[in-house]
Amino acid sequence: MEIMFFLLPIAIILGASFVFFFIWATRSGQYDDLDSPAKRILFEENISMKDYRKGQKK
Amino acid sequence: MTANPKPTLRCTHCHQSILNEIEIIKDDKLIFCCHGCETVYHILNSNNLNQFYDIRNSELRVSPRVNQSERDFSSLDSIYQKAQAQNKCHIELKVEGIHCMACLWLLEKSPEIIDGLDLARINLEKETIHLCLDNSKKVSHIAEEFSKLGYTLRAIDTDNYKRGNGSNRSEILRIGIAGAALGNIMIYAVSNYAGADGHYLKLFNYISLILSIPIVFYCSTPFYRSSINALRLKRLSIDLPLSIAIVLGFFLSLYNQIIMASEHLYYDSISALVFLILLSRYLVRVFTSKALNSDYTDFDKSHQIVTTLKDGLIIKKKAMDITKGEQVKQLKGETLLFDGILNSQLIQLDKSVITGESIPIESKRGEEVYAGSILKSESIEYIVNKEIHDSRLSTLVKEINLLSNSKTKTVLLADKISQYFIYAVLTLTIFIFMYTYNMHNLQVALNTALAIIIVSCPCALALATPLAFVRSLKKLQQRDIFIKNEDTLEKCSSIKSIILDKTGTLTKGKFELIYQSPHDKFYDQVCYELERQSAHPIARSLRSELKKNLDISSTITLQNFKEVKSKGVSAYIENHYYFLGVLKNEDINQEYQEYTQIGLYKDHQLVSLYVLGDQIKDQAPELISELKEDYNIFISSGDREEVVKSIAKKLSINKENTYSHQSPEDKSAFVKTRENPLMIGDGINDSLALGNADIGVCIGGAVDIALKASDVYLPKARLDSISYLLLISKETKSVIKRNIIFSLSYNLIGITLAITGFITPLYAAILMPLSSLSVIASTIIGSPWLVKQKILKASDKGEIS
Repeated sequence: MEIMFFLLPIAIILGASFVFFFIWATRSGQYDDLDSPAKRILFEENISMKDYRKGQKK
Repeated sequence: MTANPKPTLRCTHCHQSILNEIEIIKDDKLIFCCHGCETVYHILNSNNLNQFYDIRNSELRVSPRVNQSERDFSSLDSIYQKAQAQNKCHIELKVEGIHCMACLWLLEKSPEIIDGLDLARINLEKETIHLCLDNSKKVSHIAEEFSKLGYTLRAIDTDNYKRGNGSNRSEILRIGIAGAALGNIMIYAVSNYAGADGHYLKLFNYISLILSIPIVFYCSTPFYRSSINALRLKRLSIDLPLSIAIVLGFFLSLYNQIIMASEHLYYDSISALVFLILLSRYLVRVFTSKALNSDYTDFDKSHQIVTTLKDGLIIKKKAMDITKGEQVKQLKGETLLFDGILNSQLIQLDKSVITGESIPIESKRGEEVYAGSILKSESIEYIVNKEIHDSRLSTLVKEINLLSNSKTKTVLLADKISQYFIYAVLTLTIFIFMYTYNMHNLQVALNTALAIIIVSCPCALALATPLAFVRSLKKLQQRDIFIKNEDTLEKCSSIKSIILDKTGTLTKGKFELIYQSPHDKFYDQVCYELERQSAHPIARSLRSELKKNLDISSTITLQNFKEVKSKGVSAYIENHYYFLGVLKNEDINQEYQEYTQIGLYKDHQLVSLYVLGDQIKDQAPELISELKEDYNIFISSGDREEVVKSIAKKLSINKENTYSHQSPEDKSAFVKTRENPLMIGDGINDSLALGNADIGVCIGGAVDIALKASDVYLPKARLDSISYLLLISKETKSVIKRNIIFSLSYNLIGITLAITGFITPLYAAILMPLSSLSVIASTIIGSPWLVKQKILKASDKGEIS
């Protein structure tokens, strides 16, 4: 059971790092707007026919 | 018997149906309702941004009509001066007019059209736009470009905005951190209960202690703050026992762990409590409507440019510089800015602001006109008799703003109960402390007393209300019923009287062809041609109704056209004399007495009869008959007495309960005299009453100010939503009551165990989540029997009738 003394710190460090990333994500404003990104992803980029054909030849 | 409508003409840009033919501006095959929409269409078209219409159509949404008024954005420049000093400036502005995906798309594409704009990002949740601009361009210039597209930019109160942003973020942070800490503490708690001992037990306990520190000192701070605030107001809130339990639980555990080396630790219970309550409160906030909580309405038109006439000279001025006695000229379609005395000949005004009736009314020279009315005839000259900020409309708006800021909050049921609860627990604790102190020693007495306080923590009580609210709010939202805050639901359950507005609420608010006899293509055509010559409002409504089933291209030539003053119009067609207008007394159709009837006479013989009127909404009779059983129903309308009475008769509402000719002030005074009133309305003329009622419900395409004054918003204008709302509010109340009973009985068990000294952390750890779980379960189940009863009742009635 001595393995516990090794596993516990790892578990805690892992957990703490997730919390840290969560704090960072919140602070940087990722949870400020939960509506628009979901819609923005649905817009198609304007690709003109020329670019489209170029892409196909490659 | 109604005319079968063909698809109406719709504006290419805003996709709204075009009611008046005069509004049509034809351009190739495109039809526009106004010059504003036309401009926007051409801007988009010339910049290859027509995809806007594809996105919008796929969402089946309607763009707002473009309001083309001269606006002055120069105030924005001074506000954002500081930000503009940098090379590339990033600013955040409020946008008005966003309502669908297509708007989002267009606004984010705007840098392609607008010079000097590098980036535009929309935040739909807050309705703000983040702009990055060159410092060569002024903010006001950008704002003008946006207004050409039909969106209005406004400055944000930056401090307030940042605070709002910050509090939202920290709320999420608190929930996240509490959740993470709770999850980990639970792991150690379970292994401890499962029988960890020796080194492991000690280690696990210390880890739990460390993990619970952020919960007690960071996550729970809102509870401490709100209980201190409540104490300052000399009130006890549900947060007080929570805070006491959290703090005491933590320090007692700490004391037990370090000094006593005992196993009486409550870290797991505390963190579960904090996490659950934080989460449920957050959800309540998510489900209450943002639109109704916006602290922002703008009626300020004082920067608008106005044309004044003085000794035959035309001078342009800002509206706020205009003083009493000046003569102002405004054009067709504009909203009057001032109260004044009419100086033009006969004109037509849409006075819905004051009367709620959207059918234009004729006014003569010398009559009073009010700000907010919309001009329907060509142009108007009037003498201002009140400055812009003193007009009847501005006064109304000011009053409503005051009201919505000071509307008293009701004390929630849970808070009321928790007050008694706190007293009861405190006296009990003191009593038990004295008793055990006499029986044993101080040590035992202190431990027992603290255990009682912790165990009696009304965790489930604190959960009982928000959970029930979340469930109801979500249910309501699914039916497109939006609620201002949780108070609203609790207030709804005690409603006793319901006051309804007529136009737009009970009726469709449109002048429609209700009845026509006979259906004859030729006579319709004749009517249409005759009415085309007339500018009378009724003539215009009839014409637009007739046009739906007519082929406009075929023409009939009129000879000797004459307008008979306040009677109708006449002309010769193929040597027959035709007259269209007021019916002869003997021809009036008794069935439609209260409506407007128009007859077409051919050589003095009635050949065709048209009945025009505002029809009652389909669901209205059903709703009223349902509500009449439990509530007092009143109608309060700005319309004429006969019309209101006839509507009341059709809905079988007592004559004594109908009030006609009501001004906005009358309506609000009436609402104040009723007991627990719920007001339903849609216009500015209802707003004051909406604000003064216990619950204000605004319906359909209500105006901003009505929204601000109300507590409930029904965008789809379905009347049956109201009975649903009242039903749900009753259900919510019964669920809350049951939840409270559940939680109190658990507390009772816990306290008994604590007194008898049986309580161990294990019991607490089981009891607390168990009580919370049972409350959650009881909330999910709801009160299906209450709902079923109602549905059964309704279906019974359906069978009988």
